[in-house]
Amino acid sequence: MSPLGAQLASGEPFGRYVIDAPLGEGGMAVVYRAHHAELGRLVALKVMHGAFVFSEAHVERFMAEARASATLRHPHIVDVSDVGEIDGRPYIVMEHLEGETLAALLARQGRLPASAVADLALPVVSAVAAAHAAGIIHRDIKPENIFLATDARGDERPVLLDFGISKNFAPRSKALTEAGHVLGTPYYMSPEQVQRADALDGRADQYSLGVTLYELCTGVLPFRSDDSLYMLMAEIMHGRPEAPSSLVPELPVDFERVVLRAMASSRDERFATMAELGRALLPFCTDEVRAKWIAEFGQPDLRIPSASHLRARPSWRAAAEEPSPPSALPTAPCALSAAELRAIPWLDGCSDAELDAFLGAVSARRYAAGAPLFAQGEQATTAFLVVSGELSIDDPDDGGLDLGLIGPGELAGQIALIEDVPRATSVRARVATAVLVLEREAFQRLLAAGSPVAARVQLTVAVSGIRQLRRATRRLAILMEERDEADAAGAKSRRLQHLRAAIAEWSVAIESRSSPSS
Amino acid sequence: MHLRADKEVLRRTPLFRRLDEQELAALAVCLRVRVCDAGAWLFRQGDPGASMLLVAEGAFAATVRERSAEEREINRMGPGEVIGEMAFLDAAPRSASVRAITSATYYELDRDGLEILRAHSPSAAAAVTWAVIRDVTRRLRRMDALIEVELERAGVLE
Repeated sequence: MSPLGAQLASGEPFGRYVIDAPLGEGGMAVVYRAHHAELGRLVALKVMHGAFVFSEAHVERFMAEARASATLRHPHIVDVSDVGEIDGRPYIVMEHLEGETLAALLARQGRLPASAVADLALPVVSAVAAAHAAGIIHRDIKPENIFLATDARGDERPVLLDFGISKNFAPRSKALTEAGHVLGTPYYMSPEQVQRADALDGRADQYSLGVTLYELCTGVLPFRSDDSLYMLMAEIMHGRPEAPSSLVPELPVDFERVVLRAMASSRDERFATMAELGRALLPFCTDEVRAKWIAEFGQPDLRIPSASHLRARPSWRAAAEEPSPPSALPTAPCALSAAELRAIPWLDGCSDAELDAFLGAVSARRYAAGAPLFAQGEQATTAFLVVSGELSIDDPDDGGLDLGLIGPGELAGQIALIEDVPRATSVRARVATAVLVLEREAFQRLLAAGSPVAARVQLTVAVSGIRQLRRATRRLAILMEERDEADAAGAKSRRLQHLRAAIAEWSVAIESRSSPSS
Repeated sequence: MHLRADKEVLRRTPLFRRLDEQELAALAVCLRVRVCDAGAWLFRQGDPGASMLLVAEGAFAATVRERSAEEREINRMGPGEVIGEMAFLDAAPRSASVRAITSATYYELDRDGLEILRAHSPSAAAAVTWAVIRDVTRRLRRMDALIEVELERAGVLE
């Protein structure tokens, strides 16, 4: 028998099991591959480190994991078959899995396409939902704790591991992870966990899964300050990650929205339940996986177009599915009131009289779902300010690729206000939408007349352009960094240096580096 | 003594080339004239971006803090150049530090100044904002073209 502090050696018996080899080491336990001495069945045996067995608190936490896992039976939660203590060393016996963790997969592949991420995520969402239903928060969801198990036929099955610090909702088990101990892996930790470790609910798990999805689809962590733990925590609390699509341009915008919503820094802004997150992910999975989970999560929300629509969407189709009143004209003039403009936050502070004066000088239109506002290549002198509804931008050169959505308070076609260039994209109403039509000359007259509403519209045009430029600059810097790494061995090409110089010039030095996105 | 910005400097500033005489005169009134010695910091990286600065005389250097904590110079600015006009409009933190490398004179426009300008001459305030928007649009186009080149090279785009 080994002394308490030592690792168990290969061939050493441990109760009814015989140790084969260590599989991994966690904070307070070592996991071994072992087999049942009589049945020969392979298991994963988690044995507490000798150093902790004298700490009642640690033993209790270890056993709490065992109990939490043992009460959960779910095809995507690791199965616990036995729990006990041998010679004062607590242990857990779990099913033995072949495969790798998502962390290992990520390290090998860099990043995964949205459909693969959604396919992997749904079983995990279901597993976490089951834990929540049983009153258990996992509290440490991350790629290292999601195992991609491969069965004999080569089929892959994501399995949630390690309820090591999970804590029952029920207040009676005065959790060991309370009292200000910050447990969990900081990179994936929710802002509420960073701030204080009590009063958590299932939405903390949703956040950590959101960070995991972000990392899977971009290959980088949303918050990764390595200056200090303090800086990292500050980043998490401020919660302004770079948009995944600025790192991976081909990522569907709606998928990005789902990921960012799951990791909203205010938990009230996240999905209310894991099931809601599951439903929002359904449109992005492959058909096979969607068919499997639709019964559990329900019909996908129609507002989010399905993945196939995103890829080759004649944007009509999605639009045609939207219910719209029969015999409605594609577009018609309409009247908008100051009260309706109040929906736009940046008009806060303008008086009703100022809003009315502005409304009197521009025209308003409604567009039915699917109706085009303008098409790529057209010459134009008008911009559109969305008051209600939503527009979608298509790139007709790219098979109708969905380039993004424009919502209330955002503008479409604003370049036409400053110069005569053909429209770069096509824009249509995704749902029934009301807009203000801003004609260049008329808008200029409003500005010259001192309309505060017009001034705010102009400022919005400026700010959205500036933010796009900041994002573009950062994207270019990332692309160049990647390339730099690829070229690390060779001499730097002249072109690279040229690009560097260009970046320095165009960022005007002052503006572009490491400023926050929004 | 209240110094008045030199309209001649404004006239020679490319960013303001579309402003007419009256608009330039209104702008001149709303700018604060400041002088500084060589070595003086205008602002540090991370400061809130609350104003834009126009160099009238002298030269400035922009530096960023590298991971190694060293300051690396990324640009120099001289007369007629505008500093920090984007952070001025979108209120983002300064992403570089700026220091005078000679004794210098510069004009500053903060957000209150822009509102005062708007009250004096709405068209001048609009023209200054359009000038920044045009500049941003031009840079965005060039940046997008560069990104496309990089993506093509990386084989992401065919």
